[in-house]
Amino acid sequence: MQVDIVLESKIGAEEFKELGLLAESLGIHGIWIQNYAQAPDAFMSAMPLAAASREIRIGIAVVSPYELHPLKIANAVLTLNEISGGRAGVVVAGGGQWPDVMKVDYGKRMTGLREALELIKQACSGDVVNYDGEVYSAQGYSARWPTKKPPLILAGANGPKMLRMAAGVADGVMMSDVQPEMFDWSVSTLKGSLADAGRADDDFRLNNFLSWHIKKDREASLFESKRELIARAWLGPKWIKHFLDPADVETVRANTWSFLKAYLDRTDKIEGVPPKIVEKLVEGLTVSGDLGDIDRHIERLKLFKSAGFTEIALGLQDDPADSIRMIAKHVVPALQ
Amino acid sequence: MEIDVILEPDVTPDQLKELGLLAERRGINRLWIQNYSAARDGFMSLVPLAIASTRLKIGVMVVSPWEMHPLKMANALLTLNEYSKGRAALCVGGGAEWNGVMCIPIERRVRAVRETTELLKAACGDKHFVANYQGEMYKASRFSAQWATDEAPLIYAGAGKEQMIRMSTKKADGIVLSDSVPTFAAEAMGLVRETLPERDESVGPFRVSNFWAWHVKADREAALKEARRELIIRSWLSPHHIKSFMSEEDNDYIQAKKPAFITAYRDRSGDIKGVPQRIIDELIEGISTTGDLTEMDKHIARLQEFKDVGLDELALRLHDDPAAAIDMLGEHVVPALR
Repeated sequence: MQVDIVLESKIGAEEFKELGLLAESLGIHGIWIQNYAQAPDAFMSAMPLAAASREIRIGIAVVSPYELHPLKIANAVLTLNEISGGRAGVVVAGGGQWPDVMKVDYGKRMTGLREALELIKQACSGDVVNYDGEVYSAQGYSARWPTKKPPLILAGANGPKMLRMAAGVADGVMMSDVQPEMFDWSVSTLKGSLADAGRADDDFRLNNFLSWHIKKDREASLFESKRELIARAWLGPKWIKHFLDPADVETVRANTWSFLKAYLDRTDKIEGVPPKIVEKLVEGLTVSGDLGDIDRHIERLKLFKSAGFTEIALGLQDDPADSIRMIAKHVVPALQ
Repeated sequence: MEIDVILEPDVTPDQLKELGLLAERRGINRLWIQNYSAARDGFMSLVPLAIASTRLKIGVMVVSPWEMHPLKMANALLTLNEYSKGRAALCVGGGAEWNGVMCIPIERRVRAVRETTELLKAACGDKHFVANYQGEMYKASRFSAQWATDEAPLIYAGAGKEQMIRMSTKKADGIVLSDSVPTFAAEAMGLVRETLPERDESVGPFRVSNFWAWHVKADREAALKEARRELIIRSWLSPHHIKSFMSEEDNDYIQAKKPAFITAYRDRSGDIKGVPQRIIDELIEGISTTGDLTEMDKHIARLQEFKDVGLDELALRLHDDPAAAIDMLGEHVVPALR
């Protein structure tokens, strides 16, 4: 199993390039840049690293066809792929932050995402694209300028319906915040769907975003992981029920605003939620702690490898260069 | 009058960076890159140049809200502006080639560009924040780009007809006319001057530019071939654009013969089959600047007409061997028209 890292585009193109080159020099497989509405454009921010690097895979996660027409997504990932020499990828998903600020209607979400993936795949193949879908259409789109092998087109998917759809059209899937306790409804569904689609033997990429907060200073690690908790699948019941009893699940669901407030205020103070609940969520949904915790986390990561994941994408926050060195030293060799 | 150059993203981002740095050394004001569906993404292609350059202004033209929501445009423009330290611009248009490949019909063009311009100005303004925008075509809620720190980028509108010129004069930072001969540019300037009193002072100064084809080369035959090849994309040789220098009879003939011009463009031959040479020569002379170096004084005199009617900028579209064209412009045209 390969190890990727994930950074937010708020750090800017120059820092992303430097961190990407550091990761490349230390044997990290891929680097993803997150696409948020309140940060610089992710595709543009990845360009300098794409031009300067030689081996590391570079991707954008996640882009919604509700914020950008699939042909524009294709054009952007082809541009990144060409300058990187064929190392680019994109995760396409149905939601994200952008559609909310644009106040756009999702409409037929599943159909829209499937058509978007089909269109992007076709557009990146070099063929002339003529497509007449329910949500998207295209006529005469032709990208004749690319010279590199096509970029990877992944679906951002967690639920059974999305996974089944993705198995039929995408090059792979990136799940988010899935833990081994959730493999029954995630990995099993995907594998069954791949078999149904006749793709069981394909080189289908299976990745999962996990939030990495290991630091030398345990308190700093816990501060960061608590601050970011709301971003862990929006603390959906399907995710948190594995680590909390039903009453605690209700407490968390009734206090999601407190988690969001902690995130927005950049604090670890989650008002109205007992610390023991927060600690269970940190332990269950994140990779947190100090250097003494690395070995047990690696054992947990090995479960992903055993389950068939081809990559694991570790999301970094504060002091990303320290995290990259730590991951390269401890995690990469253990999971290869 | 400042001289800008326009390139197509058929060059790689690295080539674009080198051409841009050459343009910067040669005193060019701004490098625009055109936005086509059959080429690399324009915003992304400009990033290496944005980071490497220090003075040259840069921009993307023309982007329509049909292909990109105004907030996505704002985000891309602010990103380019941040990486160039405050030197970016965008020209917004009412839809063209991307609409065709996306099968999206163009409706209410002026309204769409107006709402886009309003949203872009708000999102890229001092506060970098749009709390709530409820347009008829576009909406926004709690968009924030407070990561942006540089001076606001410029928002131009691609405008040619009266309604769009008047709207843009009130709302945008400038307009870019397209293939407008000096007499049309003068008419557009008249509309701008009439409308300027209605412009809110807080919007800031207003600029008028014109997209103009440049085919001057050391080799006259190469210049003429390039001009013939590209003739059809001179505003699609619309009757409106060529009526000031072609007779009504010739204009009708050209409209009927458009397939020959399209073929010459598509097969890159420049061979406009079946159209009399006289008509081709008059078109080239009328709607572009074409020839060799011995005619440079004549070329500059023609460009001077744009300055005389009041244009602030002239954006010259370059084709083959853009480095040679940039050198030529830097040596002859930029100093003559300052």
